[in-house]
Amino acid sequence: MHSWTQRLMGAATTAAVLLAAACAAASALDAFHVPAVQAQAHVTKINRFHKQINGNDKVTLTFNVSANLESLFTWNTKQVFVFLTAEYENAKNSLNQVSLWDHIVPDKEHANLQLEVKSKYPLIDQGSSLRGKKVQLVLHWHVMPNAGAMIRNRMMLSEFKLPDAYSS
Amino acid sequence: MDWQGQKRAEMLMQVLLVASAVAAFLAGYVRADFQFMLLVYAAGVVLTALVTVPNWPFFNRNPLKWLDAAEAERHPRPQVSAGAAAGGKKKSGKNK
Amino acid sequence: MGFVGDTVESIRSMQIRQVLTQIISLGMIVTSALIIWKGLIVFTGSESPVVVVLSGSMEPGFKRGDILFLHMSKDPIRTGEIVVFNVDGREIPIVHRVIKVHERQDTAEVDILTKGDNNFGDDRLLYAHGQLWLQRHHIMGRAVGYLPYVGWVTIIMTEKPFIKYLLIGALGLLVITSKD
Repeated sequence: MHSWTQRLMGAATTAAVLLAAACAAASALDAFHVPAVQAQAHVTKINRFHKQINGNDKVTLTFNVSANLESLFTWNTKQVFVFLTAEYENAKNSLNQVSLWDHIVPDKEHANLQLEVKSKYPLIDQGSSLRGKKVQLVLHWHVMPNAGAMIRNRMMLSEFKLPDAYSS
Repeated sequence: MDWQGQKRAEMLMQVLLVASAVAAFLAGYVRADFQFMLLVYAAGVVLTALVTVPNWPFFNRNPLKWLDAAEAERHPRPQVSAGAAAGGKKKSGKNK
Repeated sequence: MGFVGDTVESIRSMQIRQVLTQIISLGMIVTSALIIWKGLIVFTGSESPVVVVLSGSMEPGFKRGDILFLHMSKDPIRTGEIVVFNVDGREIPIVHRVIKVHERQDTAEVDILTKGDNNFGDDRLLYAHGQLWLQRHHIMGRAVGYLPYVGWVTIIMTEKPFIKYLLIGALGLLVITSKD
């Protein structure tokens, strides 16, 4: 009993296994890829700094970002998700990470960013500890592959100090 | 498809598939294009299926040589009794 | 009479054995699938190691029908990670990205806020009524690996049960009819 349907099934199974192997190999090669990201970000303006009714400090910012993410792209990269967080420690929390801005880079041609943007998400504290607080800006990236493992990394950028008084 | 043909078909299938996977991976890597790899591989798989799935004459070059009917009659099978036949049937049934 | 009875008996016993072997081989398939699944659960530490993306809220990163491999380690959760979480009162787990993390000084408890890449606002509208943050126990795992399209098989099977039964029937028939 060696019919053509059996041979077709056999061929399909082997083909699927090999395809999975090729994807795994492509993803494994990415692990040896060493990117060299260059980036800078500076807060240019604090638009509004106040205390919300619920008692949490809230800041909206404007900052400029320049980042060259071209080296993150390999042949197995579908897109890069890049975002900027403000990170600080206060009495209540050992770590506060708040996203301020994010962006999807679809391909290598659009991976050289030079932007001046307003914070997409406001910096909201859990409580009221932001007056005079030193905040670290961190650039994170999340490389999303065509198939395989996702890669995450980050880079410390500049620090900035919030004013000692609310702006309104 | 004869016995030799079956063996040949299976060998061909595996060799062709592995070869097309390797070729596709290298081609995709060199051109830094994941989609290109998938296209080359798909072409390889279709080609493999075309070569090994249908029952081509190529796989029927070593037909089984059955014993000629006249020849078989000249060497008759040994006669068996009814009781022994039942036992034989049982055995062959199990082995199926 | 003895001879006929013998033959019938032999045929009957043969069929029972054959049926038994078929049942056992079917059972082997089911149990080995179960072993692989449970093994993955132990290995990844997540209660569902593979999830299918059901919505477009993470496009263009993840589309409907893609599958994600989850891992649940003791490592702290950080912004940017894509996590799968369960909200009280919702059956279907959600796959979204962490955009805020507040980790306590003393207890190391953590408050997490998530958002879908393709959604305009954060996920507070999706959480239970009045819930502002996710805690550690809501998180089922973080996505570490990705494969496109494979999940369509399960989406089609859950949405068109007819096809599921057809497939199960065909597979069962294949197992039962295959001799030896």
